[in-house]
Amino acid sequence: MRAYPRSLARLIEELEKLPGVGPKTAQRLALHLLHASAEDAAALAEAIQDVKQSIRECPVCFNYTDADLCPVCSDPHRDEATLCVVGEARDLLAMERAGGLRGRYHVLGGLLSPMDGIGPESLRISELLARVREGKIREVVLATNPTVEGDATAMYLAAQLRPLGVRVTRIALGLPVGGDLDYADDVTIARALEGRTEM
Amino acid sequence: MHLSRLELREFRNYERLALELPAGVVAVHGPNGAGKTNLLEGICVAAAGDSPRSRTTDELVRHRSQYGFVRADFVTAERGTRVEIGLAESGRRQIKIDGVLRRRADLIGVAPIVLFSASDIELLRGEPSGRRRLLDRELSSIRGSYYYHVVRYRRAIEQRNKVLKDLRERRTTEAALAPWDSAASRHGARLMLDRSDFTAALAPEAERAHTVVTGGRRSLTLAYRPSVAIPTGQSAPADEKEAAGWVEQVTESLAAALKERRRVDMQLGTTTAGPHRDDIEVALDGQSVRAYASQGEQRSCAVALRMGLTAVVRAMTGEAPLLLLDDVLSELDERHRRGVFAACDAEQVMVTCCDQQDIPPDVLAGATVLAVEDGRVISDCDRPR
Repeated sequence: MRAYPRSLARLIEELEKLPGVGPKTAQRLALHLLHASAEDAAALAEAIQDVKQSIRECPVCFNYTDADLCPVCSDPHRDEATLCVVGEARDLLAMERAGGLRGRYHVLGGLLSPMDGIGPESLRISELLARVREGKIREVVLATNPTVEGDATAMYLAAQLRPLGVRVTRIALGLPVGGDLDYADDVTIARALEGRTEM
Repeated sequence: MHLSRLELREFRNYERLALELPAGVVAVHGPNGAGKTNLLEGICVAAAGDSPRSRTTDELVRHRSQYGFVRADFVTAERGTRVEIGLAESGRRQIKIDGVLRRRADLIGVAPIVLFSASDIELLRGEPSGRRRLLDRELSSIRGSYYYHVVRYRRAIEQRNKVLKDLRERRTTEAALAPWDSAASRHGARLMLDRSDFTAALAPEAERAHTVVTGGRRSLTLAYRPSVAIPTGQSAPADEKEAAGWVEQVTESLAAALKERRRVDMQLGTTTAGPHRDDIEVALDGQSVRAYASQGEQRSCAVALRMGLTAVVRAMTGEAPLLLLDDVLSELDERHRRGVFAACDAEQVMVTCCDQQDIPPDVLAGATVLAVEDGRVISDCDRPR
């Protein structure tokens, strides 16, 4: 890095901190920015600052928002009786892209994983239980990842939610849509078989 | 299935080797350190992507070389498959099946092999962990869902153990254990079902092989000994519905066992019940082989166990595996050696020995004989055809 002027070296160092960016990519991005127009560079810097200043967590569901409430929570046409629980806000965005859910969300802010120091108290579980206790919610859909941690989190939540008298469901796991059976791996098929439905 | 051609380059002590091999018995003899085991190891690397005796790639590459290479042509009744494994001293390895780059998992089922080695006796003499590893390896290679549950079960136990340690240091509450108890019981019960099934299939095959190898004076029995009780009768559930009921029942017993052991587990900071504490009991006339059998009896039991595995793999995959017998004969007396060949139910058997006289004369007469010396096959004399 000694061959670079100090300011350029600093930019490379900062870019290297980004996920998925190694030293070579960081260098390419930095040189690209160096050759970009002053407006483009300023627009990027401003966008970064703007996102840091204006984006907060929605106080109800903990989705990203730049207003008081997130777009989902402030939408009056949403079904108040159905609540979908996800691990991270990016999972919520994926569910929204799919467009299958008419209800609202709750973002836990992670999944149970004692090995990473994440216990029930580190997640927004008390907030979830408080929302359910308000009485409008009739079904809670647990949409955590199908990993050991996601399943364990769903198990934990189900045990906490059931006494509150709501219906608790877990999203189905199985074959990818449009996939051929003979191309799916054994495990996916085995799980799809376990979760088969009546016709 | 049999191996029709083997090529080794810069592999262990082989600089360059190309062998055409017929089906039937292939006898590989030569002095200690000549490279007999290395030859079989090359076949294992081609069939499984890794070596049964070394974890790192650099050991496989010939001394002072940077790259090693194994090419093997396997032939089944239906088709031939060429496997090529490139090994770099740096640790990288590349797997090609019929010329196409593949992952290691793609090798599963391509070329089933069963390796017998002198260290198999440790399976009987050693700790239960060795027997569990054997079960896990065999079941993972024939059933993808088993591997899935193994990985998840281990993860759930790791997470549970962390909570136990946190509890001991009063950093969390007992409620934090529940989801991991539940995950461990669900995945654990699936493992126990497959292990119970597999042992039930293995037991009669191993007993049959033992009778052939030893002449049948004592009776060999295998029994699955789970650390948590399973429904009695031990026979595997017959249909899907029964299996589901079985799994449900065992899931509950496992969960109950975990709950019951909670105090003890908290003190120890580790999980003391579950399939990671299972064992398979091997007995002769009802007496534990581990505790009571002589060295010679243990050896023939180990051979019978492998023979039994071969039969089970054949029944489950529909293909007779290639048998590799590494230095097993020298430890057995003549009658048992005859028994081993009588019990071999394979298209091709490769057997290594220091002295070709270890092979019964009638078997040797029909065999392809390879003499190995210093990393070279110096003759394939006595070839009968």
